[in-house]
Amino acid sequence: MFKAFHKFLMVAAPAALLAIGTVGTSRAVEISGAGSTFVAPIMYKWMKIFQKSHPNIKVDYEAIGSGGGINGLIGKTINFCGSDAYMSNAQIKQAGGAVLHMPEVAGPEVMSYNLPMVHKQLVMNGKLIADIYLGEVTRWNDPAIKKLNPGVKLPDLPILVAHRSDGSGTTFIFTGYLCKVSPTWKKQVGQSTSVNWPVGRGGKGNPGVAALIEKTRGGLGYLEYAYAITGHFPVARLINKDGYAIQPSMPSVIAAQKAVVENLPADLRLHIINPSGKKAYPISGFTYLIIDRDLGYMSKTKAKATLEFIHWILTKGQKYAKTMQYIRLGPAMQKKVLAQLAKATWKGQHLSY
Amino acid sequence: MSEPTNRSSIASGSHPRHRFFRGVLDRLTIGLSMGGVVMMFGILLLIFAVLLNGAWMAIGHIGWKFFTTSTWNPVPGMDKYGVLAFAYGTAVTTFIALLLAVPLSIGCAVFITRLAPPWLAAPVSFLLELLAAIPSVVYGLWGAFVMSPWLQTHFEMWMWKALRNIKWIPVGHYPGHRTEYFPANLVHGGPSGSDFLAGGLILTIMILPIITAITRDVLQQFPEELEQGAYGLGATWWQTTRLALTYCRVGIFGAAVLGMARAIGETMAVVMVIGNTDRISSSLFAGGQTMAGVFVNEFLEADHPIYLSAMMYVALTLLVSALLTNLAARVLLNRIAPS
Amino acid sequence: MILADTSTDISQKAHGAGTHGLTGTVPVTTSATAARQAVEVQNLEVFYGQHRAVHNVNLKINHREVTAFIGPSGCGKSTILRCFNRMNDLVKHCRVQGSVKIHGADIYARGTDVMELRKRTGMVFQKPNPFPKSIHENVAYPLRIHGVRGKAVIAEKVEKSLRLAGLWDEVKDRLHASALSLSGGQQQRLCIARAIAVDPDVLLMDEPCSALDPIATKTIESLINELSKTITIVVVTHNMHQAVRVAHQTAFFYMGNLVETGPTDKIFHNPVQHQTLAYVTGQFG
Ligand SMILES: Nc1ncnc2c1ncn2[C@@H]1O[C@H](COP(=O)(O)OP(=O)(O)OP(=O)(O)O)[C@@H](O)[C@H]1O
Ligand SMILES: [Mg+2]
Repeated sequence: MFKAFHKFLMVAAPAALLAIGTVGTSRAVEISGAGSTFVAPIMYKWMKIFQKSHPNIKVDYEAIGSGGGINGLIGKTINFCGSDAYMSNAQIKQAGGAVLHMPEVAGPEVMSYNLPMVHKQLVMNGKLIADIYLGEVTRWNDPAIKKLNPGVKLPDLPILVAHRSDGSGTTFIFTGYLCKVSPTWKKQVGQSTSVNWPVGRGGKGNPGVAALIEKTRGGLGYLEYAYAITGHFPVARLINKDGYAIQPSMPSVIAAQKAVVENLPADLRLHIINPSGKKAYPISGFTYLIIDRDLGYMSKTKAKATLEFIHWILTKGQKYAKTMQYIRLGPAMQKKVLAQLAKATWKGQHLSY
Repeated sequence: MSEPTNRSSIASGSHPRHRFFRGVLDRLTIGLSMGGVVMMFGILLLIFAVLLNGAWMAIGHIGWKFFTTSTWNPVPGMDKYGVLAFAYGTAVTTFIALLLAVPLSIGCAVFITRLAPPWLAAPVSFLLELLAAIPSVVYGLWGAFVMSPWLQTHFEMWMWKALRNIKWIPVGHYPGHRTEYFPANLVHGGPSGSDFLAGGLILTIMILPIITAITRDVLQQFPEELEQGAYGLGATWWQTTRLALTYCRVGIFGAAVLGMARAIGETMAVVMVIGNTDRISSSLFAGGQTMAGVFVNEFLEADHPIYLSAMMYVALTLLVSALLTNLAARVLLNRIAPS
Repeated sequence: MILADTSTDISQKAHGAGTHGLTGTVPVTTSATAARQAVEVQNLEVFYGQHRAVHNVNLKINHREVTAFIGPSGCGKSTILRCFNRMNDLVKHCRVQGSVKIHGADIYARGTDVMELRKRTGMVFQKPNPFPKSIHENVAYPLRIHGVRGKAVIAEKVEKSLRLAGLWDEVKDRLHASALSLSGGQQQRLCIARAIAVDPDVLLMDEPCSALDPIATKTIESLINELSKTITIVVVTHNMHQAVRVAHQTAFFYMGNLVETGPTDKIFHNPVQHQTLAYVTGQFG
């Protein structure tokens, strides 16, 4: 248990330190963003590095949650929003009808479990995960699990299902995945940032879920990749759409991006859920930078600075993703996103940045 | 109000000018405190108005069913909102916390004021103040990573083994027609560590310092003459202590009310250990949720209007129930206060 | 001397007051009951830390008489009084040497039940200190802590004590009102009623009237006279007239020493020690 606490500190402390590090100069243009907590650690790092090469721009980001960020965008109180969930049609309408979604990094989600007596990495598929979260598969030695893990000695233990208790983009993506792989889930539970969970216990944030998993033998839950990797939590390989068991990793998520890039929706609103491909990991989401398509509500200098910062993130900033355990944009994806950014205007006019 | 002023100016034989300033000061003080009262009232009203405004849509759509149902389904299109499970969670955890914290706090305060030698009382007092200053998120993390696992593998395991087969009074039925018995029902489902009991215990730990600190302070007000009087009649240490506790009961009650207010409004720490489900269960080992907890969990990501409005409805319910309990406490206080 | 006939005076006053049915017995007995001693003090030394507050005191207090302790402030009167019911046990760093016997039993002996001792040795303090309870509950309190049960029994004892303390007629219609609603003199009589509720043998009074006005003081004094028929009373006082009015015996202390003790008459009119004479004639103190 102390180990888990230590793990938490390892994840949280650098983020906090980075946050302290972002102190700006006084005569700069100030732009502010708000939203996703998931993206906050890398956002702080981006801000710090960007500051060095752009001393005249001061960026401020408040990790108040994706919903809060979207509300800020709707209320036009911020210059850009960070969100793990893309905006719904209704929200876009509230925001004035035209927004631009720009995926900045991808984040896979992993299934983590606590079975110290099992030494081989477990394999799971979408149907199994849905059945477990529906309360239909309740024990670790269930035939459905055995079938996917031949030769693994599975204990006769109840599965202690853990989920996020706070509304989160992570849950949005996870339940989106379950909807895709299980009609029952789609009908009974659906997709949202919080849902009415049929079984299990909720933990607040990744640490909360990790605590639930770690505490009890037989625990199972979904975590963000960055958190699970930093904390060395055991994760399962997931069987993808084409039947391959895939390890969550940077290549497998870039492969997943590649699989979807061909038929992306024009507004880039999508998660990378259940893509096909030999190497594609089945559950990841993008986290988005969202801005108004026309930035006329802010000053021209601010609009320029905002676009400059976003452009920097999408290009130079990408290389910092890896050390922070996020997954960068694949080249094809990056091109699409930059094309999206190019659509932004200020009072109808395109700005150079 | 004016009488003591007059007397003191006469006593000090003060110059009329001084008296004049004192009058101005008096008036200023009265004005300021009146202003404070008005402002506090205004703020309360404002909060109430904001919440009511925010909850208006949900009140219209859901109405009274909000208080009689316990399903919480915020998925757009499904949208079912009932506060009952959360209200139950708040009530149960607060009850557990008060049940344990009040006697423990009184014990601690008695130890500090009447038992411990000064070299021990001072550091214990200091520790207490330190505990009261720890932010609740730290309690929450400690609760999730240390208390909860220990609870599950030790205390709850022991409690479960002790109670699971004791079936004294039938109190209802589980789904599937098995009869539910007391007290076996309290441990139904087995140890989990993330449940009402954990929520209640973390609250106990959190309100303990504040109740103890206030109780200690009021116990120190127990007059030496009464202490001597009781001993002089042949009272034992314990009987004298009981007299002191009765003497201080109003203050102690006030301390408990403060503790209760903190317990009702606590968010992070509870959320970390209570299991966060919208279920009502008589089992202490079942997961649950409190009103304040659901708020901190879901408010930021409440992403469509009715959901947001339902959240406001929860906040409104919390505010009103907090006001009502405080009012009830005040009525009770007036009853026990010496006339 | 003016002080000469005050002892007869007081009996008349007490009788004349007539508030609580005194029988009018004149409490000038000195030799008749002196045969028995209620309290016997031998070689008493009391220290507060390094400071010696009481030095080698030897004293006998007669059964069912009133003994007054007089002496200048700080001479150790209260300290000695507090040795009689071991209230000094509660004072940090206080050490008592020598022996104090009450009815022959050494109260500082090992195994003494201090609670029982304090029950038999009631105490009344300088400042009235009723508990913030009802009048009835104040008097019932010592009964309850000493295990008396039963509503009727307690009510009967409470009434008896309040009558003895001369308070009954004043409070009988409001027994359940708060004791704090009484006047200072009434509060002090309530404290006396509380102290005598468990039938003590000895009553220790430390300046019981110093916080009261003359009328309330008179009432308490006649009460002392009346009570002394059944209880041995030791009263500390700074009021020399009071000592003359209430006490059969007087002990004069000076700087921790017992200077002189004897019948009140003798101490005030014909003391052996010149210090005593100087004190009682108001030359110092
Ligand atoms: N609790 C205590 N700690 C230390 N010294 C004390 C304490 N109580 C009394 N003394 C000291 O013991 C001496 C005797 O005190 P005591 O109170 O017995 O005097 P007293 O004769 O009753 O005086 P007074 O007439 O003012 O009441 C004094 O020098 C006093 O300072
Ligand atoms: Mg004294």
